[in-house]
Amino acid sequence: MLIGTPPAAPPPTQGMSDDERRQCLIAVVDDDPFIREALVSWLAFEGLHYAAFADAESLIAVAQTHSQHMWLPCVTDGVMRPVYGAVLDFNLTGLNGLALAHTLVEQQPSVVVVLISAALEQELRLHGTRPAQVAYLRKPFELDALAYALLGTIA
Amino acid sequence: MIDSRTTLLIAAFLYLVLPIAVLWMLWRERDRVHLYWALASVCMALGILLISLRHVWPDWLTYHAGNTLLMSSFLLWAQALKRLRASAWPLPTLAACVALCTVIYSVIDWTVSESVRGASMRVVMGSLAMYVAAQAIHLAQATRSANATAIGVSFGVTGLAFVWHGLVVATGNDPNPFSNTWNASLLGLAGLVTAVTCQLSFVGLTLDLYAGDRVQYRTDTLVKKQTLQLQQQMGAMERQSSLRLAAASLAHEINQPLTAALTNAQLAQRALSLPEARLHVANQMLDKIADNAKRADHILTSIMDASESKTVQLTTVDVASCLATALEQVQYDLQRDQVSVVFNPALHHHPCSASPLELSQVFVNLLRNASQALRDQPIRHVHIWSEVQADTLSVGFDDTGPGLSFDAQPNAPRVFQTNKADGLGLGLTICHTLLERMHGHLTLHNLAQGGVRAHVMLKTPSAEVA
Repeated sequence: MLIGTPPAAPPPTQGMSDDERRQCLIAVVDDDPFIREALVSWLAFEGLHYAAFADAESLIAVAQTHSQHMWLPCVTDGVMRPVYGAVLDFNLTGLNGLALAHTLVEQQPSVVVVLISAALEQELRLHGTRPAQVAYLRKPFELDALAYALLGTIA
Repeated sequence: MIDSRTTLLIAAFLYLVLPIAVLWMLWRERDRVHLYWALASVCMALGILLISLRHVWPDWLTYHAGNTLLMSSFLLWAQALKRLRASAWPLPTLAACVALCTVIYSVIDWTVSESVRGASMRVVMGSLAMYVAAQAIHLAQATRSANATAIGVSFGVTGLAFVWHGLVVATGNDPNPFSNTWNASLLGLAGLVTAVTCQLSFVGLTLDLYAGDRVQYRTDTLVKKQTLQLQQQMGAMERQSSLRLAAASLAHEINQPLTAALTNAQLAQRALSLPEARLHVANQMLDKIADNAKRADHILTSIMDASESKTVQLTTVDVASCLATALEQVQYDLQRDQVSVVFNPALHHHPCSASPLELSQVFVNLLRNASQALRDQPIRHVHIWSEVQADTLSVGFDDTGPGLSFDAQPNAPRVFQTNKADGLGLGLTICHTLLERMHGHLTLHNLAQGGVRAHVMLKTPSAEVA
């Protein structure tokens, strides 16, 4: 069962093989440490690289310290990797998830973003439009739905 | 030529008889105005009769008393009309005016000749009649009543007739109104017409005014009722929206650990479903699920603690006033459900140790429950009683409803336990909690004759001190 809506366009996995994707990195931004931890556990379980942040500003700060903007250091091995996708909480202190999604999409149009929030989608719409690359999942969500939205597969 | 004596006697007769009709017609209104009016008419009748007996009885009785009665009657008429305009003389003033009339007559009687005396008296009477006419016209302007106008016109004509007669007499004619001269006849006729017109118009006038009052009263009642209804609806809406807000914030708080736990659980499932199950991942996830469940519990507990102030300031409270406040608040519910409440505040002036706001809230909840329970019952009464035994004050609400179906009777009511189709069962729990804070107690049990008794027990102030 899908909670929320799948992305308007399918994830841009074309041109990127599974191996190539595994060289990339997925960013997780949620101010709730428990959710952050759960997501990170799942990404680790799937064998994906990831970087986790409590708010949008710290992600931007880390990304801006590097010449290539959409590269982030992986938590596990500290290697800089390009951002393939991001799981963003909507309610963040400071910049909200939607604004961060816009920033990411602007910098790297092929990025896949999943917004997660306890709010209804129509409430979210009040805060602005969602780019086509951005999917929305309402908390609590099925892991299958997140996998599909992020990776285009049911892992 | 109309026989003036006959005319005047008929007028006197009418002045005596018509007030009886007036009083009879207006008996239900029970206002002092009618008594003033009837008394004025009787005075007029007696005055005329006394003067007509001037050859039989001595002057001091006929002329003196008669003229005083005539003058008093005008004053009383004026008083009745003034009272309708809510500008009546105080009784001492009225008495002083009557006394003044006697003095005026006495002065005229002693100082001037008989013919001048008659003329002067007629001018005085005429002025008084015109004063009454002026009062009636004022009233007509204020109330737009044609009946008041009719009274004003007929008194005005009478007044003019009096003055006219006085002036004619002053020129040397017979002073006697019973003399059958044409001007005496005119005076008699004016008196007769006034007698009939004024009595009937007065009845019409008061009925007009009371009808207006009744419409006003009905409108006021309706407006009051609608205001009350609106207030109730707004209160309900406020309660609903604050409940919704609370629910939304609660949902948001609970959603976080729920999301984390769900993600953890599904990851554990995946770890276990692999051909080579990764047990350590599953174990880790189970620990995290447990953590998240604890976190959810912690959130709930802290919200409950925050929403509940555990201590209340206990003061000495009059149960009757708390009951009255509560009844005011549930007035709309009781009206809607057509429930009658047997409550005599005088019987419930017992002091108890409580917090007035909380205690009223308890009573409101119990009365609302009773009202809702009675909604579809053939007999819908709530009987409120109270009694003091040793250091305990009992307040009871006995209804004629269907009774309790759940067996909570000897125990404290449990949350979400309800007989109502549309209720959550929170009302009784709230009552119980509130009473506990006030060191009180609530029991519910079915009555032998049917219905429920909600029995509130509170401590008396002396018990709290001890």
